[in-house]
Amino acid sequence: MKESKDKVSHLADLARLDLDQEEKNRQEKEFQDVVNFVSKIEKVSATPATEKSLHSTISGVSNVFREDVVIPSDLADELIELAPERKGRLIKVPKVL
Amino acid sequence: MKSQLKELNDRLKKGEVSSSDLVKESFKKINDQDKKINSFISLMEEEAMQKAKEVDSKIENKEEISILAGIPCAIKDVICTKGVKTTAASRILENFVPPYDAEVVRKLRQNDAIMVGKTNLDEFAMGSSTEFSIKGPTHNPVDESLVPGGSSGGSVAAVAAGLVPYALGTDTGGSIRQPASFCGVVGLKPTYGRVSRYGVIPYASSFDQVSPVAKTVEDVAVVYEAIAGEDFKDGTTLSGKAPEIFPTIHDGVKGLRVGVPKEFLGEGIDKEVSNIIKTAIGKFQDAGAQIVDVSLPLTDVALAAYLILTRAEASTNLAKYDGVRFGLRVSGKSIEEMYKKTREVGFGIEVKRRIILGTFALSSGYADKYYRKAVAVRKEIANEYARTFEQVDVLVGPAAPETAFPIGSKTEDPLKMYASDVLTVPVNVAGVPAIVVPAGKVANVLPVGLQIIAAQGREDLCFRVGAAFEEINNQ
Repeated sequence: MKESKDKVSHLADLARLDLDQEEKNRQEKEFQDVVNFVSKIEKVSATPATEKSLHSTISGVSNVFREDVVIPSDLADELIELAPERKGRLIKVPKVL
Repeated sequence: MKSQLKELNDRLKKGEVSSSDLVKESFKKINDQDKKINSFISLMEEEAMQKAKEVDSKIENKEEISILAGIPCAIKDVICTKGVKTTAASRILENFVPPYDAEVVRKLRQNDAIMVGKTNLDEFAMGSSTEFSIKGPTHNPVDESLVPGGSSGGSVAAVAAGLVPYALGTDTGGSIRQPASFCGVVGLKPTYGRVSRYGVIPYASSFDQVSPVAKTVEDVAVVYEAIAGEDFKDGTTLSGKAPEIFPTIHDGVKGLRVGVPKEFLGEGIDKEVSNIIKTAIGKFQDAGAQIVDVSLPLTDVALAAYLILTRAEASTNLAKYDGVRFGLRVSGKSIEEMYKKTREVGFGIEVKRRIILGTFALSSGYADKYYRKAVAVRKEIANEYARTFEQVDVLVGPAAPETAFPIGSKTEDPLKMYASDVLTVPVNVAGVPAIVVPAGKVANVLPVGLQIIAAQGREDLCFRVGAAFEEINNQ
């Protein structure tokens, strides 16, 4: 149980989630149940994933490129307006460093 | 079964009914029934009435109109609509107004379709019951105490209740097909990559697909043809045009090889659901199809592989919701505090579960054992389907192991909830297309859907067999 608790705490931290104690307790058990369930894939005989299979879709699509040509977009102003806090065309956030 | 859309299009062109009439009628039904069903998150009354007037003008001026013109529809609230709130049923996007349309919305607009509103879903399309929503649960029109299924429960319920003739949903692990089964309507999951994901809020990028829901197979086909096809704005798009559906849709099942995987009718499937499906298979046989018993042994591990891969992709996709550029922001003393508080408040319990599991599957020391192994298992499953499709033309079975369950009965038990998708997720894992068609009702009330699966790229067979089944089942 302790391993689970630390695990969920650590994972929540990695995922930038601020779980309270009650949530952490709940998530621990559920997390362990699901991990136990999905661990059955260990026993499946499967050709190891290659770089190709890791980077293409199941429909066999990979590296879909278009011509490196600038296509003007008029969305910039509208996108910036979506920011919760702005200063002109800059997005304001709490200090990073 | 007759196409409701073609019939409406006919009546519009003849002047027997106007688009404004159809749209008004839709809003009246929504007003009368949706308090009980809760299928809509938001309505687009002004825009819809305005658009209806425009279409009526076109009809009066004898202009050519598409089949979908002037007809009301609903859009799952995970698909971006310009200028109209798109929330993903999440606190973190509660007030988000996209400045652009999803490609599928653009295509519908191009066809002069009339969107009447955005439908309810499980938050970020993560769920099988449409209970995990900031707007509360959607209720099954067949029985209010039951779930409609999920995550596209709003879209499916709106169609089942007759509020709109068709709607768009998304399907990542069965989110269109399982609710279609629970509510007694038709739903499709296209070949992965067939329909553009541009402008669709992503959950699991290598699984998500947008697709229509309607009451008949032909209606789903009409809408599918309008939205399917290559889109350069979608990096995982399938190249070329989508296969044509209508030339073969009424070719029937005579001589077709219909495979029945024994794993689809085994343990864990409700007896009454099994019986309805077995009866359906008998009808295929009577209609001249060749029934072939097959086995898909990897069905047993498909859900496990699916859980790992989708959660991993979800944890990556949801990293963008950090309060910086758009959506909810909860202030903090530092940037890190802002991220953590925003995401803590913004995400619901099921979303958090999935982010945590996904982060785990990709984390150092575990990525090989879980994520990479799941990718390998996925390929094996896809190969198993491809090999099987050399022996059969389609595979059939129940869409869900059960009928609609009571609201609140599985929300505390994640694994029990995930098991509802055990028959739909292998299809997304393999990337192949599947359609769900109503097959019957348990106790004459609870709908059961028949799932028809075809090889990659063969939606035409899904529609052909689906249409044939509709015909023979209604005799």
